[in-house]
Amino acid sequence: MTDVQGHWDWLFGRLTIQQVPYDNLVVGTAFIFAAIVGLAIVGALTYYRWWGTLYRDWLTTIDHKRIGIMYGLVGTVMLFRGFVDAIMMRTQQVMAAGPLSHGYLGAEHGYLPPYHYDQIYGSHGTIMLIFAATPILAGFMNYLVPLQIGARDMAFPYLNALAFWMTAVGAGLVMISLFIGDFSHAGWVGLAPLTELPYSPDVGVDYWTWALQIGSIGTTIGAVNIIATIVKMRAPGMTWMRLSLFTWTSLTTNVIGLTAFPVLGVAIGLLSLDRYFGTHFYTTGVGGNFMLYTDLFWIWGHPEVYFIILPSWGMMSEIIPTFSQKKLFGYPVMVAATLSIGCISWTVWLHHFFTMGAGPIVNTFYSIATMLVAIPTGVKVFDWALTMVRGRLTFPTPMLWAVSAIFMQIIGGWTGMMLAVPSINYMTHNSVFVIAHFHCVVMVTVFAAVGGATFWFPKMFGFTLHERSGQWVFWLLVGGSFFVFTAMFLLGLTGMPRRLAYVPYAGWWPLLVIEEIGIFVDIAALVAFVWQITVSIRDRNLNRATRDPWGTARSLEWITHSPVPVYNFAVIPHVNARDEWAWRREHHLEHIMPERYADIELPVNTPVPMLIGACTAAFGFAMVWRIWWLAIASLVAIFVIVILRSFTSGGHTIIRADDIRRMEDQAMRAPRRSSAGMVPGAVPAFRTGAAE
Amino acid sequence: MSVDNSRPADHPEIAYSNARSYIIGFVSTVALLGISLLLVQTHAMSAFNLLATISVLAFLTTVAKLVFLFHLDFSETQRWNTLTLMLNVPLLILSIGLTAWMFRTLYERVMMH
Repeated sequence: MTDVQGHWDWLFGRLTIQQVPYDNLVVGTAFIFAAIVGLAIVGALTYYRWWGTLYRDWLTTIDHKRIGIMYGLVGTVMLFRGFVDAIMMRTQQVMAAGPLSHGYLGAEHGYLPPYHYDQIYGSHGTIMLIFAATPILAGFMNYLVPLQIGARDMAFPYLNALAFWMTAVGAGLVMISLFIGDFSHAGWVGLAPLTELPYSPDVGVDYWTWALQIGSIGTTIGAVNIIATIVKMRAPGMTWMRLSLFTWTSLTTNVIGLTAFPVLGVAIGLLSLDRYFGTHFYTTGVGGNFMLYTDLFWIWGHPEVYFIILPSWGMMSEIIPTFSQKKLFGYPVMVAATLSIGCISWTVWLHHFFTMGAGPIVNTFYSIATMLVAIPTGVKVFDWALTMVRGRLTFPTPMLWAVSAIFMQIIGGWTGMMLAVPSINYMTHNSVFVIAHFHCVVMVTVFAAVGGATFWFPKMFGFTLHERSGQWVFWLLVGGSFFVFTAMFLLGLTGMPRRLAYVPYAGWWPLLVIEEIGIFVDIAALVAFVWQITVSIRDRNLNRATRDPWGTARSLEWITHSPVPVYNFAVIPHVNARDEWAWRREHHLEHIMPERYADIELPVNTPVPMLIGACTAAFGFAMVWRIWWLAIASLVAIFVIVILRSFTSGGHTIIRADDIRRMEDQAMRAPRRSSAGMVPGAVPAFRTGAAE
Repeated sequence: MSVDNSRPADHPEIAYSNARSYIIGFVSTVALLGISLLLVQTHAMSAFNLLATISVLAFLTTVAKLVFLFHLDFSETQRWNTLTLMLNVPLLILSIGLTAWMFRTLYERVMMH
């Protein structure tokens, strides 16, 4: 064990009351906000007596749909937190430009001291990529993949819940670090050797390592589950070349996840060995090499980029044909492009550190490999464009998002090709040009995910989102992002480095002001989004969705009801075509009802994944603060729970055929307008064991 | 090949496992890792020899785990599991091989000779 600076005792480890930054105005404000929101949630749960349903139907659920929605909720909360981080960074830079800029709240310039600012960009990146984008996409995959392949649930429902809770624990550790201790100041990539104990003696880096480590376990076992589901659980007739594009991208992305995330585990694990046991993997002396860390991190890091982008492309490939009223152009080529991007993702990682000093042949190899990505990506862009050519185009919000995502993809892709040239990279490395580039690319994910959320919202909750406010969200976010990232590209080309708490050159100030204006427009988009959700829930009875609320949807998930009943499909569908719902519509088969129903066997809910999650949270927290007894106790508890669970079969519940007939008949009638017995976002008749 | 889920003892991975292979697997892997640790801790060889030796030992440990603990072989029940694992071999070659290549050219430039 390495010695740490400062206080340590066996009971509380490094944890003391001084670690709570109650004297920091910024953190204090955040705490008050979090406390108010938390109290409001607790109050609402108590007032409406929702604790029981929260526990029975959500926290203990192993239904892939509810887990998918919970993934989405966790991701959205973290997205909000990461967005607040972004606002704080933009505001700091605009306030701290030039030597004459004033300082407030104890900062020399701006309002954040460098150490605090550094933690904010570290948490912004970590949160947005690992705890916002990844869970939101995992949520979509969880919800949609079984529906799109005609399955009743995932291959391993229990493992699914466990994966969710691991991800939630990782996100929770990041959130706790805001109020107890501090977060990593070494960026989301963990710049070695800055992350080593002598340079980062605080617990911030430990929070970062354990949050990533635990979250990545969740992503890995989630990947196993989705791959197994797609390979083994397809409905009769659902051949490989009939899979929807979103399912194909989910498969590819999870193969990437399964193979790449263990590398992250090793990279971070070796760093933890350095910090806890005093080994020298990434030190600059005693045989260590901090470049090894950078190498290992990006072996995972670049596949992770494609992990985030591929499902977004899948969603765009579902939305665009629906609102073009045409089948997707070049389906086999799209599938091939998806798979080849998955393969190439493993051979490009060195382009993140062209300037490290490897030889020219090495840089050239990775430069060419990176440019190869443009071929399948270009194929995709042309396929989307040609899908729209001569289609009957309509532009409701999902389509607006999907089409603008193509434009964002083109900007992000072009600048990516620029950065793939090592000689350009030597000029722009670590400048905000890189930041603008990859933000354009992840904005593709944001656009596609918001579009996808609007598109599938009626399928998930049974009512459509308010269209007009959705258009407001779209134009505000697109407009704001235009200001932010155009200015950022220009700043990058004039040489502004990334991660600056103090901007030394006052000439950059006007462009920073434009970025600030842009992010305030983005705040307006967030307000419009909250307004949209509020109005949509208020007016939900006016906007009840039928099975296919868009009228032109194509894939298999639209043949079941909205919201999807707990058993997904009353009878497992037989698949006749690639776009099954469109096929049935063309052959006037939408209203055919099954002749008879059979009993459906479903696994019962279990609190075990949540318990394991709680123990894992205790373990992570204990390791961060070096409370050894608690770490050992929670590890032992996890082992005991896993062993005890392995002796039970989990149990099943049966939904009787008569009940299915009753529920199906009820659901096939015209959309109900009555609000009697309605819980927002759930139809009680479809609860587990609806036999009551 | 279908397996009745209510009878876990019929699963091939359980039917083919036995205490002997688990014990062999556990003892051999712990011994191999222990030898590597000792060699490194005592600086028993020159740096290059040490690196080569622990790489070989690491490979042997991996094989021992796959054979004795995971029971991977080319029998009918395990063929697909083995094949799926072999799909990872190109990734190992890519990640380890390209990394080694990169560091070799890097060291020529940044390390003292």
